[in-house]
Amino acid sequence: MLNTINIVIGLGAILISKLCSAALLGVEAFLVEVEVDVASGLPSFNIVGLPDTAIQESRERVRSALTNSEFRFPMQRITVNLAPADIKKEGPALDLPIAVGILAANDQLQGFSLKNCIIIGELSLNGSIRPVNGVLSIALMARKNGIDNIIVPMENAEEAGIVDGIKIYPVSNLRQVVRFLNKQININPFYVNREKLLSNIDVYSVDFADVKGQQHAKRALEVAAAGGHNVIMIGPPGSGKTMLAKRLPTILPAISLEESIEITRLYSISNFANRSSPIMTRRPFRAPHHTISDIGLIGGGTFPKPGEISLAHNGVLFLDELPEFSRSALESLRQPIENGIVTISRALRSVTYLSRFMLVAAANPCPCGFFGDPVKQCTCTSYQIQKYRAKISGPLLDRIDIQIEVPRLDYKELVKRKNGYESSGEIRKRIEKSRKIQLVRFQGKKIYNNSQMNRKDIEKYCSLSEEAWNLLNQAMEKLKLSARAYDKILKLSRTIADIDLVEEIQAVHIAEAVQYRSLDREYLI
Amino acid sequence: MNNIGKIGEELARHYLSKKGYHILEQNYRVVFGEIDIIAEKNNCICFIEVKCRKSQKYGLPEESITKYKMNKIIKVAQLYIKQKGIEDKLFRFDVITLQFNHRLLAKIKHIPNAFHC
Repeated sequence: MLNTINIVIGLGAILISKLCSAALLGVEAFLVEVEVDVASGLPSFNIVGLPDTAIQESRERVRSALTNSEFRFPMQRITVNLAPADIKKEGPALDLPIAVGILAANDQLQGFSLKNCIIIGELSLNGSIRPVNGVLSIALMARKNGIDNIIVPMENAEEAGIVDGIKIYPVSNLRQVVRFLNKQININPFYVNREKLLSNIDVYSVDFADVKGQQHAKRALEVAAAGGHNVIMIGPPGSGKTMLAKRLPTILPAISLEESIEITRLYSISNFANRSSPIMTRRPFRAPHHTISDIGLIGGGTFPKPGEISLAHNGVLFLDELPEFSRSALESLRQPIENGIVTISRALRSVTYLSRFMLVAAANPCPCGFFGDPVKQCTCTSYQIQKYRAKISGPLLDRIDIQIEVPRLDYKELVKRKNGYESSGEIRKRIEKSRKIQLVRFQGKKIYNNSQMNRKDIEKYCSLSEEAWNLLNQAMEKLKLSARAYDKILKLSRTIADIDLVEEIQAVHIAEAVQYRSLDREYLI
Repeated sequence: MNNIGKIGEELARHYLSKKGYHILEQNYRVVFGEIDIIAEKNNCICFIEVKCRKSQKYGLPEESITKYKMNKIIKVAQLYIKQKGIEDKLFRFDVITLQFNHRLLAKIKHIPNAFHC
C-alpha cells in the first residue's frame, strides 16, 4: 500500500498514479494518498477529497510550475483524489505530490523506483519548492508508519532531520525531484547531528546581575524556575517586575531533546517557526500583550491553531499587568494550568495541544500602583482598589504557587552598588542541579518537576524534619492558611530543599516557603 | 450581420488551413450557442472562438471573452463531442483575435489552449 507510485495502465489511454503525502490534523500528521487520474475528455483539473482553499488554489500553482519547469501539462481531464476522503486537508504541502502525480500519470516520469516515500512541498510558479508547516510532525508520523524516505523542501530538512531512522531528501525545485525519482541524479540524505543540536550555548543580552537589589524577588524566581512553579509579582510601577521577568529565560534549565521536539512541533504548525533555526533550542518565553483575545491565548480558529499557552509549552508565559487582561481570557487559563493540555473543540474538529507552561504574572497592587508603598501616597479609593483586584479571581490566584511583593527600590541601593550581584549563570547552575534531582525523583512518572506533584506525591516525597513540622503547624495556625496553601507550601519547600541539595525538608525551607504566600497573608485580597 | 466579424472568421479559417489544421465545422450552431470554428490537428480537436476589433477603444479583443462566453463554448463543445462520439480524442479551446487597422489590414493572434473547464 505504501509503494510510492504504482502506475496502472488500463484500457485505452487511462493512467492512474498513486503516491503518498501527508497533511496535518492539529499537531498530528496523517498519511494522505494522492491519486491522479488523467483521462480523455474536455481539458479540466479537479481536486476531490475535502481540500481547503489553499489546496484548491494549488491547481493554478501546479499548472504554472509544470509548464515553467518545461514539462507538459496534459490537455486532458485530470482528477486528483486525496484519500482518506472524509478528513479535511489544509495547506499547500500537497502541491508537490500532485505535480509529481500528474507527471507520473501522464508518463513523463518513467523510472520511478523509490518505495516507501512521502513527498511534501509547496510549489511556486517557477517550479521551485517552498517550505511548509508541520514537517516535524510529518516526519514523526512517517517513522511511526514504517516509511523510510521522505522528500522535503530544502528549508525544512533540518527540522525533519531531528527524527532519526528515516532518510530525508531535501529538494529545491520540481525538475530536481523528477530527475531524482527518475534516478538521473542522486541526492544525499540529509543528516543532523542530534547531539550537537542542543549543545550550543545560549547567549543572552540581559543578565540577572543587571537588576539591582530585589534579592527577595530574585530568590523567588530562582525557586520558581527550579520547581516550575507559577509566580505572581506585585509591586508599584518601576520596581523592576518586568525587568526581572525578562531575565527569567536566562536562568531556565537547559531543554532536553524530547522537550525541544514537543515545542518545535507546536511552532512548526503555527507558522512561527524561525526558518534560520528551525528547531527550538531554548525554552520559549511568551509575553503576549494584555489586549490578547481568549482565542489568541488558548488557541482556536476554524482549524484550531495553538495559542500563546501552547507556544509557551515547556517554557514561560509572562502576563504583564495581569489585571488588565480580559476576565474571560484569564479564567480560560485555569484548566490548562491544572492539566498541562488544552483541548479546543470546534464544529469541524477538536484538537488537543500541550500547554505545560510556567505562568509568570506581574501586577500593581491598585490602579495608581502605590498601595502599601512606604514613600508615595496611594490615591485610589477603596472601591477602586476592590474593583481592580476583583479582576483576578480567587481560583486563578490559587493556582499560583509563589506570590511575592516587589517593593520600591531604595535609590541608594541603585547608586551604591555597581556590581557584585549574582549572574544568571551562577543561578542557573543551582537550578540545573535541583532539576536533575527532580527528574530522578519522578522517573517513570508523567511529571517533570515539583510543581506538578499531586496530593499522593506530596505525601510520598515531602518528608519533613521534626522542627519543620512544628514550624509548619505554627504557621498554619497563626496565619490561618487554607488546605490548598498547605499543599503549595509543601511543594515549594520541596523545591527549596532541592536547591540546597537536602533530602529531608528543614525548618528553614518551610520558613522560606511560607513567606512566598504573601496573598494568603491578606496583602492583596 | 456584422461585416468585420464575417471577414475575421474567414481570415481565421485561412490562417488555420495554412497552419495545417483541418477545418471540421464553421459556425457550428446549436440552440444555446455557437462555436466559430472547430478544427483538428494531430488528433486534437480545437474549439476556436474568433474575436475581431477595429480599434482598441474598448480594450483588446481577447479581453472581451468573458467567463459566461467561455462556459457557453464549453457547453456547445460537450454537445458536439457527444453528437460525433469522439470522447477519446484530445480537446483544446483556442482563441484567435484579429486587430484591424483603418485600411482593414488585420493582425492575427492565435492563443492555443486559452481556457479550460
